[in-house]
Amino acid sequence: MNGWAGKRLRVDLTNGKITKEPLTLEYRKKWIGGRGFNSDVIYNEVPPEMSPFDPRARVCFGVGPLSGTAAPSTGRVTVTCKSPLTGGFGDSNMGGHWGAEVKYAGYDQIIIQGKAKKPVYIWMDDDKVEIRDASHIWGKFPRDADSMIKEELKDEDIHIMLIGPAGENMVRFACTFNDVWRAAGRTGTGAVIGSKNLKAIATRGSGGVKIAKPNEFMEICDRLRQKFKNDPMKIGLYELGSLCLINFSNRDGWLPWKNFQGGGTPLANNMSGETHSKTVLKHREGCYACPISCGRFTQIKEGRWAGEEFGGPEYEHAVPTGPRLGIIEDANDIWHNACLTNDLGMDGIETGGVISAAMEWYQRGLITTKDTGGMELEWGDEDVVDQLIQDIAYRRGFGDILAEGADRASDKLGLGDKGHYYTITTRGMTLPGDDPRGLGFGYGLSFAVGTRGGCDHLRSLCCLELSGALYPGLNTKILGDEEPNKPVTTAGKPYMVYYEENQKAVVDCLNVCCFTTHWSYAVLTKDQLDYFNACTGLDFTEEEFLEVGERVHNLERAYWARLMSGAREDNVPERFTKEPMPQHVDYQTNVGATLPLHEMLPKYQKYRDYEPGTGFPGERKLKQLGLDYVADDIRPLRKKYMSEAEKKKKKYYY
Amino acid sequence: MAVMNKQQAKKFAEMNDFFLDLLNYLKEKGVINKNDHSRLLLVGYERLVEHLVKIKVISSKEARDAMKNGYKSLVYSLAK
Repeated sequence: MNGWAGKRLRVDLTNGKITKEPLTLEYRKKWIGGRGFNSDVIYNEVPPEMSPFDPRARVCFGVGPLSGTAAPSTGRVTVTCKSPLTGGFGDSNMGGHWGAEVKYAGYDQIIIQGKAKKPVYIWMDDDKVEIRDASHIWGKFPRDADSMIKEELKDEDIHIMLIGPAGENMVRFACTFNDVWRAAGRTGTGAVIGSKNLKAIATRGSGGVKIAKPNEFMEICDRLRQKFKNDPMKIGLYELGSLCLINFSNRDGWLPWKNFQGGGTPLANNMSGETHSKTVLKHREGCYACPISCGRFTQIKEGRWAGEEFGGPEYEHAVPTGPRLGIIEDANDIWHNACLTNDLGMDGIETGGVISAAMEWYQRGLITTKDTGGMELEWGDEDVVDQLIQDIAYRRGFGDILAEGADRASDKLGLGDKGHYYTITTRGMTLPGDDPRGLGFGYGLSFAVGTRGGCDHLRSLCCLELSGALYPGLNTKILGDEEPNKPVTTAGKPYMVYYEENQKAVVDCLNVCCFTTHWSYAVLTKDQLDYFNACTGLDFTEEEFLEVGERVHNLERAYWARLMSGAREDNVPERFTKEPMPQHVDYQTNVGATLPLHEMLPKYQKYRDYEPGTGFPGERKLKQLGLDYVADDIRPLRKKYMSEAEKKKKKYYY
Repeated sequence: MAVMNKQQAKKFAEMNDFFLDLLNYLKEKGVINKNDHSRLLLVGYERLVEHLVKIKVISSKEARDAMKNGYKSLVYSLAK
């Protein structure tokens, strides 16, 4: 078999049953891998009404046909579950080396179901799979648990997926890690793993990946690697990491300041990639087969956090736990917050999101010290943030409420509509550190319609408006015009979002890093098709390839439809549509901007061929995509969604 | 080959987001069929231009102009 390993591993932790299931060629062609395989399993095996913490619920880990090969940046793994944060469809993906190791061990996917009686970890030694006691590593930080497992198994070279204390405590936005620092941050996958009493999956694989046309495949890989040499985004990411964006986001007004009350700060350079590189960068790191190496390893050298070391931070980690909370004067506080959330195993975006919402509730008088257990939630108070991060992870006091995520916390505190105004969420998940009034209107549209809730650069990715201007002619090649590369315009954005969603979905099925295919546009759709065909020996056309992405997108959208989430829920926080962007620096480019979401949304829904009114995937489209059974599932739900009773419901999560 | 008049071309050129409308129009006029419509929607503008050359609706030179100058150039070529 070429590309794929051709089977998946299923482990039932309730009864200890371990099975290996073949994946047919027809199935592999339909879903390709990673996100596609996982989405199919969640749709079919986790009914929408089931709690994500029900032992019968699944959590899946998927890799793609290119995982473990020489194709650039093919180290990603998709982790999928019913999200405990949103209650809807949830997934996230992570870099590192574990994905390749899973493939070398002989699997394209791992499905975990059931619940162990006591903490366990899974040891996959090629074909030999066993469930082992993890009582002694329960409660440990990922960095310590990783070392202990390696010592126990007497092998420093194995790769390990694991969760931190927040996952064990079922914090609804706990993440999943591998190689200690590489996180699948979003949607709370770590909490579902923790609910099953599973701490880790340690993997050793000694197999390989068979390539259908090895010479052709290596020529393609070499050609693509050459393209990275002078690629502008690659250079920025290598030199400065994703923090390379800080000064741009500040200039263009999309760096969130105090829960998006502003789009930047005159002190932004304190945390820029340039400053980080000069002050605390210890070394750079790369994931499997990566020609970019955007990963940072940080060592704090001065101040109260001196001596702390960790892998990171990313832009999307540092911004939510920094300026979004009003912290900017001492960047070491920001690096510390990133280090702490990593050690505790929480999504930095949701952590910053829920704390910044609480700070704004406090600012507006919606909550007081009576609600917070005496804590004064003042913007920029690092002592408060440090304490809250720990209280959330261990579900202590006010932190226990915040551990539910921003929207659920608002309801637990009884804050009503006013509380939800300040939760910057879509479908129950906090938006990342990117203000669409500046980052781009395409991003704003994609935040409204993403199939996992408030999405970031790893989902509905419209980098054609972020980095598209660095690739002259690219917007015209895809969209027919260069105008869409301007962020603050609606021109061409509905088609941009439609195209990029499909394209990103298929990239997630391949489990290729989007920094090679979207941020950087070194690997375009045709290139992806070339290495996919050469690897697998198949003969996909470009439209067949992208149709897989469209299929995955519609399946995920249908999962939300089964939860009564459709067109009415395609929205963004009102702050973006109602409050004009204030000025924070004199060179800012987006002063006064608001997001004209509803100028773009109807056209986007037409591109998708969604059913008018409900916004559910259309019957014609589902049948065209070979999803007749999905059409059957949602047909009876259309009338209910359009009922007056349903229209009156305010749905912040499911 | 003219598949629209200049007034229609102007209307397309002024659109904020043209791609779906143009494909719908070409399908309605019988220039592309239903399968082409679905396929071209997925693969984007460059493939549309290539397809229009292949079915001899525009010339190679018009295609080059359409790739250099964007869809406004293309729709006026479709009105010639």
